[in-house]
Amino acid sequence: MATKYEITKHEFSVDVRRISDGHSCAFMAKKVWKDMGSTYQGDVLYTTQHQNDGLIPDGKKVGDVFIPGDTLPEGKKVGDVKVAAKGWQEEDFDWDAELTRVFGEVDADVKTAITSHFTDDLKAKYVTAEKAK
Amino acid sequence: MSTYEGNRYNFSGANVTGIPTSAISSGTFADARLSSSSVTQHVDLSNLSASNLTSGTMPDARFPATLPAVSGANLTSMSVASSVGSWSPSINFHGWNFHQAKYVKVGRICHVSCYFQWTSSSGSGDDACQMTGLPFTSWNSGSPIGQGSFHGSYDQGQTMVMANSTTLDFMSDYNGQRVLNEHNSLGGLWTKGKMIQPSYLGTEYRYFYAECTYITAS
Repeated sequence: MATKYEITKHEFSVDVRRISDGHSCAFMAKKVWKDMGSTYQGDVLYTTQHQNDGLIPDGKKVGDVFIPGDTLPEGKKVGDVKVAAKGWQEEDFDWDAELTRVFGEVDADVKTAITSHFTDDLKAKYVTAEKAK
Repeated sequence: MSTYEGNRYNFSGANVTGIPTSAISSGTFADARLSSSSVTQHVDLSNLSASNLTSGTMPDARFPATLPAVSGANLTSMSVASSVGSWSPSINFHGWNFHQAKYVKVGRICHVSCYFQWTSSSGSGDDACQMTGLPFTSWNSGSPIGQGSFHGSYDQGQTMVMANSTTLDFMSDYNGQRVLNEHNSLGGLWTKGKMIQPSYLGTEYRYFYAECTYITAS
């Protein structure tokens, strides 16, 4: 049983709070995301909103290029697919790396609580739930 | 001294019996003349006023298992469990420095805030940009379960927390992308293209502030 940390398990996540200073992080069971690929982007121009916010530098005006768009290959136009979408992706967390990033250490009790809760079955259910959203 | 006078002063009263208590109509008995049993066995406490309880502590066993119903309006100065601390945000694209990330949790209401700075570009594509690492899991009871705002150079909008999640989503006002339809179809979140904007500006413009209040799972 961890004594340095408060651990609360949920359906697809574990909340971990360090008692001494309240530093806290909720960890999901798995990385799940949707790769949407990319499309060719056009120029982003300075707008009146930029002007009102005083964000247009000297020498520039509304309508000038703020962020240059992609260089378009022959036959391509803005909005065409630049990189094809891969769809749903998933990846396991490296818990040693995650705990070190968040808490600066790998507490054995915390790691055990996380890894024992995030079974393969739970992770599979989480992925299914994410894709259904 | 006569015989009568002598007997009068030596009279002990020991032989005086059968006097009814009704004959005692004045004066006060000394405490020592009253036995403790005569008080504790015959006193009636059934009508004792609670105002007489002026010291001591009621034993737990004297309280009923089901306390009397009282109006919540009478419960004042109640303490609610609360905690404060920091958290560790992470954004899935580009490089960022998080200068401040704090939370306060009162009961099941959590308010998070963070102040962060873009440092470098990385990655490409139109994937939704999300901030992970919320301090507590959100309540699994429909989305959204929390809402707030963010502000930064050339971009601002709303933050949202969905159900059963540890992620903070961003819905940008930029180019009018502040509608739920876009959230559903495109992710409605910062794209990498929008997030890259600070890199075109001076360092003073590379800062963002975000806050959100949401209901936690426990």
